[in-house]
Amino acid sequence: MFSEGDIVAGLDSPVARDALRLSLETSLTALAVMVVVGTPIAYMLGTRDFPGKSVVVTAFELPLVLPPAVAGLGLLFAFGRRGLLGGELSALGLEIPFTRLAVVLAMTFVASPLYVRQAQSAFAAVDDDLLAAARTLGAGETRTFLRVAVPVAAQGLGAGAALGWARALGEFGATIIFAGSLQGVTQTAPIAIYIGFDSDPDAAFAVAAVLIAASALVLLSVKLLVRGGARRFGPV
Amino acid sequence: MRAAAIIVLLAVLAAGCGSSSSDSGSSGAEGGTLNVFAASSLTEAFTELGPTFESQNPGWKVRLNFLGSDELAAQIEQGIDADVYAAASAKYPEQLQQEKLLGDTTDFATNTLVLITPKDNPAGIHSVQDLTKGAKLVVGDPAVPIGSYTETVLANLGIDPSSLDIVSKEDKVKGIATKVSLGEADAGFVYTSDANALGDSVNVIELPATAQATAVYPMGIVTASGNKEAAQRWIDLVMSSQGQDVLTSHGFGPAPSG
Repeated sequence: MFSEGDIVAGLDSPVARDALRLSLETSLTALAVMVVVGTPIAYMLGTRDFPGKSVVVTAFELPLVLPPAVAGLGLLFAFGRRGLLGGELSALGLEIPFTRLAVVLAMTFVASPLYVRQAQSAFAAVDDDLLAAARTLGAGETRTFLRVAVPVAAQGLGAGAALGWARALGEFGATIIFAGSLQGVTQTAPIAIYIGFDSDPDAAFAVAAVLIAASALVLLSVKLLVRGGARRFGPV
Repeated sequence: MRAAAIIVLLAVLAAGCGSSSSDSGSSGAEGGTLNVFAASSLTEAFTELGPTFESQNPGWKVRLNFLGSDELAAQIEQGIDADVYAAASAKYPEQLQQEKLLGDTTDFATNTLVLITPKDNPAGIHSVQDLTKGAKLVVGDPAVPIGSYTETVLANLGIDPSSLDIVSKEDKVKGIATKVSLGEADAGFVYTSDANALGDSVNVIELPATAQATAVYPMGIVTASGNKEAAQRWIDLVMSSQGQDVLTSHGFGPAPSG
């Protein structure tokens, strides 16, 4: 139905290019937040037991099973102008809805559980003796985490990051509720596809083709990462 | 692994075919399901007319699908089971007619535009001209009728859209209504019927008559429909004085005469 030429022509439209650029930038930002904030949390959840741990884990995993529209409403009720933190944010001169930050927040909220879950099991699989040995040899908690746990769990972390990034790239429901849709500002690739479906099908199909390729690439890299990990550390 | 995947796929396909054939198979005289695809702005009015139709036509169930007119047209193009298509402008019905997917249409209602603000009106908007003072405005995407009507109104008012702080172009009018009534945006253009449905949660600012864009709503029977008689009875109901009263009570104007 659509040839390569159509896809190239579709990608030539400013709507398609703005949407893809925005999606790439915001999803990578969301990924960075996920990794920086999520990794220590996943390490703690994967290597420690503490009272109420299952409650904490449930809270972190909730966005994974929530309908994205509910996630969007939740974000509005928390960070919207009339939300719980709206007054405090306004005092700081911050109004989050309808901004690029809102897009990143929505992506981070729905995608980070995928990363944290994967990272948590990667850390849980790290041999306790290795961590104990590092501590015995005088490495502090931070050093043990950065120099021992993270390198050993790297494959799992990579796989989690890839899945989290793909989920962020595909995020739609929470974004359209929390961030709205404006070309170049908040109109991500999935939203551009949804709105452009009928008015500009060529661009919509072209953007969709790029997303399919990106998702396939991510899945493939996860498979290679997991297989590489299995080869290095034996069967998982 | 592959065998399992094929089995799952076949099961899904079988389930899909099963449900659609049971729908269209019930198109006999004794009743069935009438799929009415209607523009998002018709939500309240058609939801009220659904039970009326069902009580007048025993054995019939009305299934209402409310989305942006463009999305509904796209669904019909993709071959989704639809019997009646009611849109908020002539653009998409005409497109479907060219593709031989929709029969003749009847104009059944009109709608006008209003400006709404949240109840507490944080940006202090009292007229359309106040919009240029930096208020966060939500409009419809030009792909949906409310978006193109809004462009017409702004042009009639002599307001350059680039002088406005448009923070979002929504895919359907209900998205505009919700974002304004929640107070996340300072103002938005919606149909009079939507403002009507929002009731006290928003302030309504009427537009000058000279700037007004009148939306005309056409409705027609989908060519592929297996329930054409029932579909016609739905159109008759909407055109009857009872149907027109319901539309009027929700803020719509009467069907254009002629």
